[in-house]
Amino acid sequence: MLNTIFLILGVIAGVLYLWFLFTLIYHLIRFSIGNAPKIIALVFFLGSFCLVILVIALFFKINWQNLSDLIVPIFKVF
Amino acid sequence: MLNIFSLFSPSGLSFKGQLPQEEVVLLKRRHWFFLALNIFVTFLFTFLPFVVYGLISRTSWFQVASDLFWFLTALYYLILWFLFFYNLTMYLLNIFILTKQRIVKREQLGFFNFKEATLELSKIQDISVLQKGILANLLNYGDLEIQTAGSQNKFLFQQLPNPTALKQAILNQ
Repeated sequence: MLNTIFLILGVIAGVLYLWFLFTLIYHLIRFSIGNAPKIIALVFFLGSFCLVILVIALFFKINWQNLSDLIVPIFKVF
Repeated sequence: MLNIFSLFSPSGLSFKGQLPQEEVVLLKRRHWFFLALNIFVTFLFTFLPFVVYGLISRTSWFQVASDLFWFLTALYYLILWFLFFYNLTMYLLNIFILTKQRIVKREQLGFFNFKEATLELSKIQDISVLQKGILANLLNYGDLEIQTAGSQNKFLFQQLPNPTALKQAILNQ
């Protein structure tokens, strides 16, 4: 159940990420004037790629079992 | 063969919708202060995870939830990165172009919210410079209001750097 929720959330986040990435780079390359915006688009792409790899790596590092042991007793109080 | 790196070769000041043989005299964006303001606000927000870390790092449950904290921190920086570049893009796409024939004002209000106004130089009747406030005078930015003979008889260009010189440049054409 939890795996399915994470999978759906992951797919939504991935689609949003790719859509925003494409739209921003497209606007910078297609509609801007001069050279600087194209270099900014490259910097943006490289930075967002590094950050997304970091986010994915950190997500898989989370120990969900330990977290649920911490969270479930809190819910039992209510 | 398509050379993808040709994207980064100097392309001059050509713009979308440029007429044949139309020569760009100058191109202006909003005053740098408004970009600096955006950079400063983003810079302030980069400290937020450090503040949160300072508050929660000594709690007993942090050892268990630290991985989640670092994941959320990285996600936060990714969102901040996107927001910063979104604002930077909006700054870069809001432009004032003066050519030998006309003035083009391109206003990007969002990804799919775009406004373009053109104004023939021959139709200009009067140009006023508006500089309101201490900051505007100190940093030398202001608005240009152009009166024309056309149906849309007033054009306003906001927060431009050195508006007096810009007015002079338009009058020189």
